[in-house]
Amino acid sequence: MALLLLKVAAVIYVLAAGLGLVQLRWPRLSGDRTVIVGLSIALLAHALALGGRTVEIGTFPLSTLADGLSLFGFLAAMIGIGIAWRSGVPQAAALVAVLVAVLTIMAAGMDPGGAGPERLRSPWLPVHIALAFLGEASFAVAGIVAIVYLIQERRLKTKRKKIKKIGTGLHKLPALEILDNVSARLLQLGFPMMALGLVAGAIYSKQVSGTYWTWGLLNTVSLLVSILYALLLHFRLTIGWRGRKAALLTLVGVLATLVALVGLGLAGVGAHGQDYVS
Amino acid sequence: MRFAVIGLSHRTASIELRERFAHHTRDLAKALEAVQELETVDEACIVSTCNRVEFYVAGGAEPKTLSRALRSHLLALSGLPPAELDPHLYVHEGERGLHHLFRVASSLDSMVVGEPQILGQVKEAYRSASETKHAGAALTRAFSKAFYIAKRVRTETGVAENAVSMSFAAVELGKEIFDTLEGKQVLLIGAGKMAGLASKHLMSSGVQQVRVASRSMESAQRLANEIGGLASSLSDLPILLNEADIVISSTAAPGYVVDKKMMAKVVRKRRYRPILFVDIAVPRDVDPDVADLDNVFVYDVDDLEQVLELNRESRAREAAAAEALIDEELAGYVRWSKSQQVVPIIKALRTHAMRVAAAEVDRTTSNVKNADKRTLQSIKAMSNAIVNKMLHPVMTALKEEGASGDPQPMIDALVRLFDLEEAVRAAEAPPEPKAEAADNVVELRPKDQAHGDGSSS
Repeated sequence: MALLLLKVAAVIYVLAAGLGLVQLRWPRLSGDRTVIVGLSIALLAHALALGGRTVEIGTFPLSTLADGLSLFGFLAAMIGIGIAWRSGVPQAAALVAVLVAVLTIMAAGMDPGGAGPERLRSPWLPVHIALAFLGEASFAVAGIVAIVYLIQERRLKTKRKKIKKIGTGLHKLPALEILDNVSARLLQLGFPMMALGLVAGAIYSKQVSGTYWTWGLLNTVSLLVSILYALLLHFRLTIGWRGRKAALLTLVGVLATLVALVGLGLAGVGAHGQDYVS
Repeated sequence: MRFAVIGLSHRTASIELRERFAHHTRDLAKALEAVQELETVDEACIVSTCNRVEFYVAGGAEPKTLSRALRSHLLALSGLPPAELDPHLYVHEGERGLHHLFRVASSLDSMVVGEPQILGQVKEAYRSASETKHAGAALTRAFSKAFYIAKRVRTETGVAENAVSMSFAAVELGKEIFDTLEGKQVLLIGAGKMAGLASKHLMSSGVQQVRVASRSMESAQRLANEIGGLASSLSDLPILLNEADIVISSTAAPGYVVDKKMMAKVVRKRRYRPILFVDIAVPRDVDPDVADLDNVFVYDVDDLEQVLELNRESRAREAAAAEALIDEELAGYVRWSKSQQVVPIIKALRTHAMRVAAAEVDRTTSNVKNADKRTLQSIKAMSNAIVNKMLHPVMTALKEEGASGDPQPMIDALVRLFDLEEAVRAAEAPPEPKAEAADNVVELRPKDQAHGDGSSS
């Protein structure tokens, strides 16, 4: 039942993503709102799927990779809707829809598994996963906003061909300052989540495997990305680093995280590329 | 059409003269009150922007009488002798007044044809007049139509899309980078006329402060005074660039005034905050290599001119299409509005005739004993038929006259012949002035509404 709901949600995400891409290419006046509404409907179905899954396994679904990807997508969609709706970056909705469509399709295609073996259960596990995914979802949306920033920056720099569209309203992308600020705010939001998530993960790891840290793929990438973003935020505050390079770095971090996550998902290995859950 | 407009605009009057009237209309409610007090004026609306001050009125008298009263009013307001004021005034009566209103609202009479702000300003003017009950049925009809036409012009012709001038482009580019220009700082390098004009446009978009830097302190000071900015010396350029968000450069210098080396330092100092250069100088003031720096955006005159050049031809074509659209709408409106003119008299005449007939039928039938229902009905039907047959040619003539000619003499004659004055007035019960008329016609982004009629406000 929960899996069926997740598949329904995935289909709606795909539809929203399709609408979103059409809107990006051929903007219409009410198109942005339609995409946001579509994404919200998908989110609702997704919430039902998560609820159903919770009922099915008797605990909040966090322990398998399928559940993790699903939750990651859910959080990213939620943040994306917020950004599209409140922060004046409607283009975020379309791109987030694409990302989440991919994530939910992957999650729906996997064996959902059960609640995980008893020996791996700990109250720290949901804390770790929830925080880490909240952080990563914020980063993912930050990366999407960074993409919009890079497009807008490109448009403004290569003025000769594109200037025609400037001032015609519909083709307008959000102002650079907005995009830059939104992206930075998302990093600021995601960074502490990610850091706390890593700490919770270390505590959990100590509990179940006796060691605080293992150099699995996801651990390593997460640590590196956290350091990258810490530096980015630091330089932003101290020397006012912003704009194109900041957007590019944001994007690099997000891509690394996504590649690690999705790569693990495709390889079908355990949560961190290690063999805790088999 | 008992409608007239009198006014002055950037086409006919200097800024000083426009300012004089703008000052008098600052307290709009009071100004409207004063116009309404004029004899023959029933309804009034004042459109006052920095580029135009216009008085729209409707009333019971002929348009000529209306405009004459308004002209005296304006003379009194300005305190100028007629010989000095008259050349700057334009008067449009009746249909031509409507035509003018439609063109103004559609932004065809603006300094930058197609700029979107004027519609917001006209709407605002109508709203004020309507809220204070100065705009009644006649003006509401005319302005609603104007808003409808403006929307058609915006959506069906390319006029609005082509609203590009240098200063307009500067503002639009600024908005692509900063979202809002409120609180931003503008730096003018060089005290040229173009720069002054552009800065006015920017200021009307909410820019907080304008600094003027020029080789000659004197000319910097002059322009600064004119636009309400601060004058600086050109030697302070690095410091000034540090604070500015938008730079408009227009010096006559033979070489670059801003080069990459200087700007690279400034960029670090200003912590990479974005900065926009609009370089309208020829030869250029800003080294094009400056654009390689992060968060620095440089547009020179070619970049802007390319747009203007591209649009010049299509702009003329679109403006012609818009004019044709307005003419077509105007003709339809005038036809409709003339036919509306005969509606009260038709109603009054019919009511009057029916009442007389009904009274006579009642009187007759009350005398007839034992009349059965069917007979009574037949008598009633007959009386109605007589009335309709008698009135039919009159109605047809009225409608024809209403559609093509001037029905007023015929109306006057009928009123007199049948003593219909009261009845006509009752039938003229005005349609409810629609408060929402201004709202539902055109979607306008709210931030567009506050700004100038073309380049400044």
